Amino acid sequence: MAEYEKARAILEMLGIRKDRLVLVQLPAFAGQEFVQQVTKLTTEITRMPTFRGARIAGPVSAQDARVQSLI
Amino acid sequence: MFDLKSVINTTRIRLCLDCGKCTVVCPVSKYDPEFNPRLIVQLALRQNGRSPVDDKVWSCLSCNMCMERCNYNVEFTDFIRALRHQGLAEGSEVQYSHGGTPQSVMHLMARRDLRQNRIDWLPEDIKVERHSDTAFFVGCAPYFEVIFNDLGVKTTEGTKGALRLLNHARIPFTLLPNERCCGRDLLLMGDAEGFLALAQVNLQEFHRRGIRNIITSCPECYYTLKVDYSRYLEDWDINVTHITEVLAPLVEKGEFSLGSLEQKVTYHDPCTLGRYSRIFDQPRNILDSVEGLELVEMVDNREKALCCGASPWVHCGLVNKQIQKERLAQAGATGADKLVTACPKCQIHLVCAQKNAEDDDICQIEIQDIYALAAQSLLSHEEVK
Repeated sequence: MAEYEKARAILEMLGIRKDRLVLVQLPAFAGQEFVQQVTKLTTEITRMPTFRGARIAGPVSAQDARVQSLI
Repeated sequence: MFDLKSVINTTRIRLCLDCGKCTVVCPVSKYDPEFNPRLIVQLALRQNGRSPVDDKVWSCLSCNMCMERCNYNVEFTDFIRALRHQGLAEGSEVQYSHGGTPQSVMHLMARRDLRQNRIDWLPEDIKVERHSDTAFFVGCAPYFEVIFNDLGVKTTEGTKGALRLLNHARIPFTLLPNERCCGRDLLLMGDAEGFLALAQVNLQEFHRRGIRNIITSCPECYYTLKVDYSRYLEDWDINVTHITEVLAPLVEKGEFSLGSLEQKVTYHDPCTLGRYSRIFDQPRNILDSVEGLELVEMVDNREKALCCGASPWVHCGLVNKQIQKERLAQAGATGADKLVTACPKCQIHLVCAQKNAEDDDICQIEIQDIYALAAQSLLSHEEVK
Protein backbone atom coordinates (compact mmCIF):
# COMPACT_ATOMS: atom_id res chain seq x y z
CA MET A 1 0.00 0.00 0.00
CA ALA A 2 2.86 2.34 0.84
CA GLU A 3 4.47 1.64 -2.55
CA TYR A 4 1.15 2.35 -4.26
CA GLU A 5 0.84 5.72 -2.52
CA LYS A 6 4.47 6.46 -3.39
CA ALA A 7 3.84 5.68 -7.08
CA ARG A 8 0.76 7.93 -7.07
CA ALA A 9 2.78 10.78 -5.54
CA ILE A 10 5.49 10.36 -8.21
CA LEU A 11 2.90 10.39 -11.00
CA GLU A 12 1.36 13.56 -9.57
CA MET A 13 4.77 15.25 -9.54
CA LEU A 14 5.33 14.16 -13.13
CA GLY A 15 2.05 15.83 -14.08
CA ILE A 16 0.47 12.49 -14.98
CA ARG A 17 -3.07 12.08 -13.56
CA LYS A 18 -2.63 9.92 -10.49
CA ASP A 19 -6.02 8.26 -10.95
CA ARG A 20 -4.53 6.51 -13.97
CA LEU A 21 -2.88 4.19 -11.47
CA VAL A 22 -5.37 1.74 -10.04
CA LEU A 23 -4.69 -0.70 -7.24
CA VAL A 24 -6.38 -4.08 -7.51
CA GLN A 25 -5.90 -6.36 -4.53
CA LEU A 26 -6.37 -10.09 -5.06
CA PRO A 27 -5.88 -13.06 -2.74
CA ALA A 28 -2.74 -15.07 -3.56
CA PHE A 29 -4.77 -18.09 -4.72
CA ALA A 30 -6.91 -16.14 -7.25
CA GLY A 31 -4.88 -17.11 -10.32
CA GLN A 32 -7.71 -16.88 -12.81
CA GLU A 33 -8.80 -13.47 -11.58
CA PHE A 34 -5.19 -12.24 -11.81
CA VAL A 35 -4.97 -13.35 -15.45
CA GLN A 36 -8.28 -11.61 -16.18
CA GLN A 37 -7.00 -8.35 -14.66
CA VAL A 38 -3.77 -8.46 -16.65
CA THR A 39 -5.64 -9.29 -19.88
CA LYS A 40 -8.07 -6.43 -19.23
CA LEU A 41 -5.20 -4.01 -18.70
CA THR A 42 -3.25 -5.06 -21.80
CA THR A 43 -6.44 -4.86 -23.91
CA GLU A 44 -7.09 -1.36 -22.59
CA ILE A 45 -3.50 -0.30 -23.39
CA THR A 46 -3.70 -1.76 -26.91
CA ARG A 47 -6.89 0.22 -27.57
CA MET A 48 -5.45 3.48 -26.30
CA PRO A 49 -4.75 6.10 -28.99
CA THR A 50 -1.01 6.50 -29.47
CA PHE A 51 1.42 8.07 -31.83
CA ARG A 52 4.16 6.91 -34.12
CA GLY A 53 7.55 6.48 -32.48
CA ALA A 54 6.29 6.32 -28.89
CA ARG A 55 9.04 5.69 -26.37
CA ILE A 56 9.07 2.69 -24.11
CA ALA A 57 9.64 3.88 -20.55
CA GLY A 58 11.06 1.45 -18.07
CA PRO A 59 14.12 0.22 -16.28
CA VAL A 60 15.82 -0.74 -19.52
CA SER A 61 17.73 1.23 -22.07
CA ALA A 62 15.22 3.57 -23.75
CA GLN A 63 14.26 2.27 -27.16
CA ASP A 64 12.22 3.74 -29.94
CA ALA A 65 9.27 1.49 -30.52
CA ARG A 66 6.90 1.32 -33.43
CA VAL A 67 3.44 0.94 -32.00
CA GLN A 68 1.42 -1.18 -34.35
CA SER A 69 -2.13 -0.52 -33.21
CA LEU A 70 -2.91 2.84 -34.81
CA ILE A 71 -0.16 3.31 -37.37
CA MET B 1 28.77 8.13 -28.40
CA PHE B 2 29.78 4.78 -26.94
CA ASP B 3 31.44 3.18 -29.93
CA LEU B 4 33.95 0.85 -28.29
CA LYS B 5 36.70 1.44 -30.86
CA SER B 6 36.66 5.21 -30.41
CA VAL B 7 36.24 4.88 -26.63
CA ILE B 8 39.42 2.74 -26.53
CA ASN B 9 41.28 5.75 -27.99
CA THR B 10 39.61 8.54 -26.03
CA THR B 11 40.01 6.78 -22.69
CA ARG B 12 43.70 5.94 -23.39
CA ILE B 13 42.89 2.44 -22.22
CA ARG B 14 45.78 0.88 -24.22
CA LEU B 15 48.21 2.86 -22.06
CA CYS B 16 47.29 0.64 -19.10
CA LEU B 17 50.57 -0.80 -17.84
CA ASP B 18 48.88 -3.47 -15.77
CA CYS B 19 50.56 -1.99 -12.68
CA GLY B 20 47.53 -2.60 -10.46
CA LYS B 21 47.55 0.75 -8.67
CA CYS B 22 43.87 1.22 -9.64
CA THR B 23 42.98 -2.07 -7.97
CA VAL B 24 44.87 -1.16 -4.80
CA VAL B 25 42.82 2.02 -4.29
CA CYS B 26 39.48 0.72 -5.65
CA PRO B 27 36.95 0.49 -2.77
CA VAL B 28 35.03 -2.29 -4.53
CA SER B 29 38.19 -4.41 -5.00
CA LYS B 30 38.90 -4.05 -1.30
CA TYR B 31 35.72 -5.95 -0.39
CA ASP B 32 35.26 -8.02 -3.57
CA PRO B 33 38.54 -9.68 -4.60
CA GLU B 34 36.92 -10.79 -7.87
CA PHE B 35 36.46 -7.17 -8.98
CA ASN B 36 39.63 -6.00 -10.65
CA PRO B 37 39.63 -2.88 -12.89
CA ARG B 38 42.77 -3.81 -14.84
CA LEU B 39 41.55 -7.35 -15.52
CA ILE B 40 38.21 -6.04 -16.81
CA VAL B 41 40.17 -3.81 -19.19
CA GLN B 42 42.47 -6.62 -20.31
CA LEU B 43 39.60 -9.02 -20.89
CA ALA B 44 37.60 -6.47 -22.90
CA LEU B 45 40.60 -5.58 -25.07
CA ARG B 46 41.59 -9.18 -25.66
CA GLN B 47 38.08 -10.18 -26.69
CA ASN B 48 37.74 -7.07 -28.87
CA GLY B 49 33.99 -6.91 -28.30
CA ARG B 50 33.42 -10.48 -29.50
CA SER B 51 32.34 -11.96 -26.16
CA PRO B 52 29.57 -10.88 -23.79
CA VAL B 53 30.45 -8.11 -21.39
CA ASP B 54 31.63 -9.26 -17.95
CA ASP B 55 28.81 -8.78 -15.41
CA LYS B 56 31.39 -7.27 -13.03
CA VAL B 57 31.15 -3.97 -14.94
CA TRP B 58 27.96 -3.22 -12.99
CA SER B 59 29.84 -3.23 -9.68
CA CYS B 60 32.00 -0.20 -10.54
CA LEU B 61 30.96 2.86 -8.46
CA SER B 62 32.29 5.39 -11.02
CA CYS B 63 33.96 7.02 -8.00
CA ASN B 64 37.07 7.85 -10.09
CA MET B 65 39.47 6.75 -7.36
CA CYS B 66 41.31 4.64 -9.99
CA MET B 67 41.85 7.64 -12.24
CA GLU B 68 43.16 9.65 -9.32
CA ARG B 69 45.94 7.09 -8.91
CA CYS B 70 46.66 6.18 -12.55
CA ASN B 71 49.93 7.65 -13.81
CA TYR B 72 48.75 7.54 -17.42
CA ASN B 73 45.29 9.10 -16.87
CA VAL B 74 43.52 6.05 -18.19
CA GLU B 75 39.84 6.93 -17.98
CA PHE B 76 38.65 3.64 -16.61
CA THR B 77 35.15 4.84 -15.62
CA ASP B 78 34.43 6.12 -19.15
CA PHE B 79 35.57 2.78 -20.54
CA ILE B 80 33.28 0.93 -18.10
CA ARG B 81 30.41 3.14 -19.28
CA ALA B 82 31.00 2.01 -22.86
CA LEU B 83 31.10 -1.62 -21.74
CA ARG B 84 27.83 -1.12 -19.88
CA HIS B 85 26.29 0.34 -23.04
CA GLN B 86 27.36 -2.78 -24.90
CA GLY B 87 26.06 -4.93 -22.03
CA LEU B 88 22.61 -3.29 -22.23
CA ALA B 89 22.51 -3.91 -25.97
CA GLU B 90 23.38 -7.57 -25.35
CA GLY B 91 20.56 -7.87 -22.81
CA SER B 92 22.81 -7.98 -19.76
CA GLU B 93 20.85 -8.71 -16.58
CA VAL B 94 21.06 -5.51 -14.57
CA GLN B 95 20.02 -5.63 -10.92
CA TYR B 96 18.07 -2.42 -10.46
CA SER B 97 17.92 -1.08 -6.91
CA HIS B 98 14.60 0.18 -5.49
CA GLY B 99 12.63 -1.77 -8.08
CA GLY B 100 14.03 0.35 -10.91
CA THR B 101 11.91 3.33 -9.79
CA PRO B 102 14.64 5.98 -10.32
CA GLN B 103 15.28 4.76 -13.89
CA SER B 104 11.55 4.63 -14.67
CA VAL B 105 11.08 8.19 -13.44
CA MET B 106 14.06 9.35 -15.54
CA HIS B 107 12.64 7.72 -18.68
CA LEU B 108 9.20 9.21 -18.03
CA MET B 109 10.79 12.64 -17.62
CA ALA B 110 12.18 12.45 -21.15
CA ARG B 111 8.66 12.95 -22.55
CA ARG B 112 8.49 16.27 -24.36
CA ASP B 113 4.84 16.95 -23.44
CA LEU B 114 5.38 16.67 -19.67
CA ARG B 115 3.96 19.36 -17.36
CA GLN B 116 5.40 18.62 -13.94
CA ASN B 117 4.30 19.74 -10.48
CA ARG B 118 7.84 19.70 -9.14
CA ILE B 119 8.11 22.87 -7.06
CA ASP B 120 5.24 22.47 -4.62
CA TRP B 121 7.80 22.20 -1.79
CA LEU B 122 8.97 25.81 -2.30
CA PRO B 123 8.37 27.80 0.91
CA GLU B 124 7.03 31.36 0.77
CA ASP B 125 10.10 32.92 2.42
CA ILE B 126 12.32 32.07 -0.58
CA LYS B 127 12.38 34.81 -3.21
CA VAL B 128 12.37 33.60 -6.80
CA GLU B 129 12.40 35.88 -9.87
CA ARG B 130 9.59 35.33 -12.34
CA HIS B 131 11.92 36.08 -15.26
CA SER B 132 15.71 35.92 -15.16
CA ASP B 133 18.45 34.64 -17.44
CA THR B 134 19.90 32.82 -14.42
CA ALA B 135 18.17 29.64 -13.31
CA PHE B 136 18.74 27.50 -10.27
CA PHE B 137 18.71 23.87 -11.41
CA VAL B 138 17.04 21.92 -8.60
CA GLY B 139 17.76 18.39 -9.82
CA CYS B 140 15.87 15.32 -8.63
CA ALA B 141 15.73 16.20 -4.91
CA PRO B 142 11.88 16.57 -4.93
CA TYR B 143 11.52 13.14 -6.55
CA PHE B 144 14.08 11.56 -4.20
CA GLU B 145 12.09 12.80 -1.22
CA VAL B 146 9.05 10.84 -2.44
CA ILE B 147 10.92 7.75 -3.64
CA PHE B 148 12.92 7.45 -0.40
CA ASN B 149 10.37 8.79 2.06
CA ASP B 150 10.55 5.53 4.03
CA LEU B 151 14.19 6.42 4.84
CA GLY B 152 13.10 9.77 6.24
CA VAL B 153 15.63 11.66 4.09
CA LYS B 154 14.47 15.21 3.42
CA THR B 155 16.45 15.98 0.27
CA THR B 156 14.57 19.21 -0.47
CA GLU B 157 15.86 20.65 2.83
CA GLY B 158 19.27 20.93 1.14
CA THR B 159 17.73 22.66 -1.88
CA LYS B 160 15.77 25.07 0.34
CA GLY B 161 19.01 25.81 2.22
CA ALA B 162 20.85 26.52 -1.05
CA LEU B 163 18.10 28.89 -2.22
CA ARG B 164 18.07 30.72 1.13
CA LEU B 165 21.85 31.17 0.87
CA LEU B 166 21.45 32.69 -2.62
CA ASN B 167 18.72 34.99 -1.28
CA HIS B 168 21.03 35.97 1.57
CA ALA B 169 23.81 36.75 -0.92
CA ARG B 170 21.29 38.79 -2.98
CA ILE B 171 21.86 36.71 -6.09
CA PRO B 172 18.70 36.69 -8.25
CA PHE B 173 17.57 33.47 -9.94
CA THR B 174 14.50 31.81 -11.36
CA LEU B 175 13.29 28.23 -11.09
CA LEU B 176 12.18 26.06 -13.98
CA PRO B 177 8.97 24.19 -13.07
CA ASN B 178 9.51 21.85 -15.98
CA GLU B 179 13.22 21.05 -15.75
CA ARG B 180 14.09 17.38 -16.19
CA CYS B 181 16.58 15.05 -14.55
CA CYS B 182 20.06 15.86 -15.86
CA GLY B 183 20.42 12.21 -16.89
CA ARG B 184 23.69 11.46 -15.13
CA ASP B 185 22.59 8.09 -13.78
CA LEU B 186 21.46 6.94 -17.21
CA LEU B 187 24.78 8.10 -18.66
CA LEU B 188 26.74 6.25 -15.97
CA MET B 189 24.85 3.06 -16.65
CA GLY B 190 25.55 3.30 -20.37
CA ASP B 191 22.01 4.27 -21.43
CA ALA B 192 23.14 6.81 -24.03
CA GLU B 193 19.70 7.13 -25.66
CA GLY B 194 17.97 7.87 -22.35
CA PHE B 195 20.62 10.41 -21.37
CA LEU B 196 20.47 12.24 -24.71
CA ALA B 197 16.66 12.36 -24.62
CA LEU B 198 16.78 14.11 -21.21
CA ALA B 199 19.62 16.42 -22.23
CA GLN B 200 17.75 17.55 -25.35
CA VAL B 201 14.48 18.34 -23.54
CA ASN B 202 16.42 20.24 -20.88
CA LEU B 203 18.27 22.30 -23.49
CA GLN B 204 14.99 23.05 -25.25
CA GLU B 205 13.50 24.24 -21.94
CA PHE B 206 16.54 26.45 -21.17
CA HIS B 207 16.37 28.08 -24.60
CA ARG B 208 12.59 28.54 -24.37
CA ARG B 209 13.02 30.36 -21.04
CA GLY B 210 16.01 32.44 -22.25
CA ILE B 211 18.40 30.94 -19.70
CA ARG B 212 22.06 31.94 -20.10
CA ASN B 213 23.42 30.92 -16.66
CA ILE B 214 22.69 27.97 -14.41
CA ILE B 215 23.53 27.66 -10.73
CA THR B 216 23.09 24.30 -9.07
CA SER B 217 23.84 22.73 -5.70
CA CYS B 218 23.75 19.10 -6.84
CA PRO B 219 27.25 17.84 -7.77
CA GLU B 220 25.86 15.35 -10.28
CA CYS B 221 23.75 17.96 -12.10
CA TYR B 222 26.71 20.37 -12.02
CA TYR B 223 29.17 18.00 -13.65
CA THR B 224 26.64 16.69 -16.15
CA LEU B 225 25.47 20.11 -17.30
CA LYS B 226 28.95 21.62 -17.33
CA VAL B 227 30.98 18.78 -18.78
CA ASP B 228 28.74 16.13 -20.34
CA TYR B 229 26.18 18.45 -21.95
CA SER B 230 28.92 20.53 -23.53
CA ARG B 231 30.53 17.31 -24.73
CA TYR B 232 27.45 15.67 -26.22
CA LEU B 233 25.12 18.57 -27.20
CA GLU B 234 26.20 20.62 -30.21
CA ASP B 235 24.05 23.65 -29.31
CA TRP B 236 25.14 23.87 -25.68
CA ASP B 237 25.92 27.51 -24.89
CA ILE B 238 25.02 27.92 -21.21
CA ASN B 239 27.33 28.90 -18.39
CA VAL B 240 27.11 26.47 -15.42
CA THR B 241 28.31 27.28 -11.90
CA HIS B 242 28.22 25.34 -8.67
CA ILE B 243 26.69 27.25 -5.76
CA THR B 244 29.91 26.94 -3.74
CA GLU B 245 31.80 28.64 -6.61
CA VAL B 246 29.34 31.53 -6.30
CA LEU B 247 29.38 31.83 -2.51
CA ALA B 248 32.97 30.96 -1.53
CA PRO B 249 34.56 34.01 -3.27
CA LEU B 250 32.02 36.26 -1.50
CA VAL B 251 33.02 34.68 1.81
CA GLU B 252 36.72 35.30 1.05
CA LYS B 253 36.04 38.97 0.21
CA GLY B 254 34.04 39.36 3.40
CA GLU B 255 30.89 40.15 1.42
CA PHE B 256 28.94 37.14 2.68
CA SER B 257 28.65 36.07 6.28
CA LEU B 258 26.70 33.32 7.93
CA GLY B 259 25.32 32.93 11.45
CA SER B 260 26.60 30.82 14.29
CA LEU B 261 26.21 27.18 15.28
CA GLU B 262 28.01 25.46 18.14
CA GLN B 263 28.63 22.14 16.44
CA LYS B 264 31.43 19.82 15.43
CA VAL B 265 31.00 18.47 11.91
CA THR B 266 32.91 16.40 9.39
CA TYR B 267 32.59 16.97 5.65
CA HIS B 268 32.10 14.09 3.18
CA ASP B 269 33.46 15.00 -0.28
CA PRO B 270 31.03 13.68 -2.92
CA CYS B 271 33.04 11.95 -5.70
CA THR B 272 31.42 14.09 -8.43
CA LEU B 273 32.12 17.37 -6.66
CA GLY B 274 35.59 16.42 -5.46
CA ARG B 275 37.51 14.06 -7.72
CA TYR B 276 35.46 14.86 -10.85
CA SER B 277 34.96 18.63 -10.48
CA ARG B 278 37.99 19.43 -8.23
CA ILE B 279 35.82 21.43 -5.83
CA PHE B 280 37.39 20.71 -2.43
CA ASP B 281 38.03 24.06 -0.73
CA GLN B 282 34.83 25.99 -1.48
CA PRO B 283 32.44 23.86 0.63
CA ARG B 284 34.99 23.94 3.48
CA ASN B 285 35.25 27.74 3.17
CA ILE B 286 31.48 27.99 3.57
CA LEU B 287 31.58 25.78 6.67
CA ASP B 288 34.48 27.84 8.05
CA SER B 289 32.39 30.99 7.76
CA VAL B 290 29.82 29.63 10.24
CA GLU B 291 30.79 31.02 13.62
CA GLY B 292 31.32 28.38 16.31
CA LEU B 293 31.34 25.51 13.81
CA GLU B 294 34.29 23.17 14.15
CA LEU B 295 35.25 21.20 11.04
CA VAL B 296 37.13 17.96 11.60
CA GLU B 297 38.44 15.86 8.71
CA MET B 298 37.95 12.13 8.20
CA VAL B 299 41.04 10.02 7.63
CA ASP B 300 40.17 9.80 3.90
CA ASN B 301 39.32 13.26 2.62
CA ARG B 302 39.53 15.44 -0.46
CA GLU B 303 41.11 13.47 -3.38
CA LYS B 304 41.25 10.34 -1.24
CA ALA B 305 37.70 10.56 0.11
CA LEU B 306 35.89 7.24 0.24
CA CYS B 307 32.80 6.98 -1.96
CA CYS B 308 29.33 6.79 -0.36
CA GLY B 309 29.30 3.32 -1.85
CA ALA B 310 26.61 3.31 -4.46
CA SER B 311 26.53 3.40 -8.23
CA PRO B 312 23.64 4.73 -10.39
CA TRP B 313 20.90 2.84 -8.54
CA VAL B 314 22.14 -0.55 -9.76
CA HIS B 315 23.83 -3.57 -8.18
CA CYS B 316 23.75 -2.36 -4.60
CA GLY B 317 24.72 -5.28 -2.41
CA LEU B 318 26.84 -6.42 0.49
CA VAL B 319 30.06 -4.86 -0.89
CA ASN B 320 28.37 -1.46 -1.14
CA LYS B 321 27.07 -1.77 2.42
CA GLN B 322 30.59 -2.56 3.66
CA ILE B 323 31.99 0.54 1.93
CA GLN B 324 29.22 2.66 3.48
CA LYS B 325 29.88 1.13 6.88
CA GLU B 326 33.56 2.00 6.56
CA ARG B 327 32.79 5.57 5.54
CA LEU B 328 30.40 6.03 8.46
CA ALA B 329 33.00 4.56 10.83
CA GLN B 330 35.51 7.14 9.55
CA ALA B 331 32.97 9.87 10.31
CA GLY B 332 32.33 8.45 13.78
CA ALA B 333 36.08 8.28 14.54
CA THR B 334 36.37 12.07 14.14
CA GLY B 335 34.11 12.61 17.15
CA ALA B 336 31.90 14.92 15.08
CA ASP B 337 28.23 15.48 15.93
CA LYS B 338 27.25 15.40 12.27
CA LEU B 339 28.40 14.28 8.87
CA VAL B 340 27.60 16.94 6.29
CA THR B 341 27.64 16.39 2.58
CA ALA B 342 26.89 18.42 -0.54
CA CYS B 343 25.17 15.60 -2.45
CA PRO B 344 21.58 14.37 -1.99
CA LYS B 345 22.54 10.94 -3.30
CA CYS B 346 25.38 10.50 -0.78
CA GLN B 347 22.88 11.45 1.91
CA ILE B 348 20.38 8.82 0.71
CA HIS B 349 22.98 6.05 0.38
CA LEU B 350 24.53 6.63 3.80
CA VAL B 351 21.17 6.95 5.59
CA CYS B 352 20.00 3.81 3.77
CA ALA B 353 23.05 1.94 5.13
CA GLN B 354 22.25 3.14 8.66
CA LYS B 355 18.55 2.23 8.48
CA ASN B 356 19.00 -1.17 6.87
CA ALA B 357 22.01 -2.26 8.89
CA GLU B 358 21.64 -5.79 10.18
CA ASP B 359 24.38 -5.35 12.76
CA ASP B 360 24.35 -2.83 15.58
CA ASP B 361 27.93 -1.65 15.14
CA ILE B 362 27.26 0.69 12.19
CA CYS B 363 27.89 4.32 13.10
CA GLN B 364 24.58 6.17 13.48
CA ILE B 365 26.03 9.67 13.14
CA GLU B 366 23.49 12.32 12.10
CA ILE B 367 23.73 13.17 8.39
CA GLN B 368 22.79 16.60 7.05
CA ASP B 369 23.06 18.53 3.83
CA ILE B 370 25.73 21.27 3.94
CA TYR B 371 23.38 23.96 2.58
CA ALA B 372 20.65 23.09 5.05
CA LEU B 373 23.21 23.41 7.84
CA ALA B 374 24.58 26.73 6.57
CA ALA B 375 21.07 28.14 6.16
CA GLN B 376 20.23 26.91 9.66
CA SER B 377 23.03 29.12 10.96
CA LEU B 378 21.32 32.12 9.33
CA LEU B 379 18.19 31.29 11.27
CA SER B 380 20.12 31.35 14.56
CA HIS B 381 21.55 34.72 13.43
CA GLU B 382 18.02 36.08 12.86
CA GLU B 383 16.90 34.82 16.27
CA VAL B 384 19.73 36.71 17.98
CA LYS B 385 18.73 39.91 16.13
